[in-house]
Amino acid sequence: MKLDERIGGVLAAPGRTFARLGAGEARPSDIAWLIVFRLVSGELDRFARAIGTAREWGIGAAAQEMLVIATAVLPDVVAILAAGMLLQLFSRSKHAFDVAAYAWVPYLAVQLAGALLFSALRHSPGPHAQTAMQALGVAWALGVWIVALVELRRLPAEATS
Amino acid sequence: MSEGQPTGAPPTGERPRVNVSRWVGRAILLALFVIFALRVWSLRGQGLLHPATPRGSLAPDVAGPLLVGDRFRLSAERGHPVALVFWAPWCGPCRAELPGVERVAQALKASPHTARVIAVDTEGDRDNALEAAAKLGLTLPIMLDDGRASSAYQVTMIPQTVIIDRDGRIAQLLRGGTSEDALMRAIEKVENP
Repeated sequence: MKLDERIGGVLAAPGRTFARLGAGEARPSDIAWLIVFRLVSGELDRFARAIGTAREWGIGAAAQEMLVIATAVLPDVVAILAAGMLLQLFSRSKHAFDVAAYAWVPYLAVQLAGALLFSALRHSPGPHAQTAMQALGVAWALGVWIVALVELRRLPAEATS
Repeated sequence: MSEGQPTGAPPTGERPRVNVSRWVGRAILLALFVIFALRVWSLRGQGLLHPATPRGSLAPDVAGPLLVGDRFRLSAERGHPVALVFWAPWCGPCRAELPGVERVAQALKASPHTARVIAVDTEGDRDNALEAAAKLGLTLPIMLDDGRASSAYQVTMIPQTVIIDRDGRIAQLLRGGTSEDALMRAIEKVENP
């Protein structure tokens, strides 16, 4: 499977995709790159400001700005780690963390769709819209994570260890 | 890849099936790129590589109601340095810093000091500010910000202190919790350039 197939398969054909990812086709770098890219695209103005701050007020001030930026993806990273721990606990697969990271893709997809929609509408999402997007993303990711768990438990032991 | 369809070339004679997974994946990657491009486009010409508070630039004028007293307006303070300490009642590091800020504010009332310290409550809730001020024993002027002051100075984290010189220009920026001594030194440096 190629990158686009691994990412898209989680949304279009989660059962089959997680079976293959669990058998060793997962690439942790896929999700790491997606997180980095999401951070850069979502927080570009803050990155630009951090560069300006570094030039004007020194690295210390810019480092604090970068910390604030990093906290934007902290919940995502913590959720992926928690999902991976639970997946490993229930499936004993050595690829549990890699597979759990892909369960984050539906959440990303909802956030991207929301960002594109509100960009097209030319206004920022209100608190209710933000909550709705969060809830939809989390629910979809949770559903996909359950599919991943079922598929990992279904795999023969020699395929996952 | 679609459900039940192996990847690779289709068997001879069969119409190639659309690989839905691949197209969905491409759509996600494209969406990420589009959002990145939109952000770059929206940031064009905004000069964001220059911080909102460059050293030596004219400090944005801010105004707002004081917790005790009438109103504060920064532009009315020309002629002596002003330290704006951005904080909020819910912020732990701010609550740790403010008693020291209060002592600095008291010390600045004595000659030969001319500077003034204003605590800018970024939450802007009068009741919460009153409760925090009572608990921390604050008597220095506290301005309730409706968001405009924080926005003007692009305050993304608190506590943050901006020291403005007697000509109304930004002289110093202190990010994070600052000790009483460090704040006093920074203010004295601006008072006696």
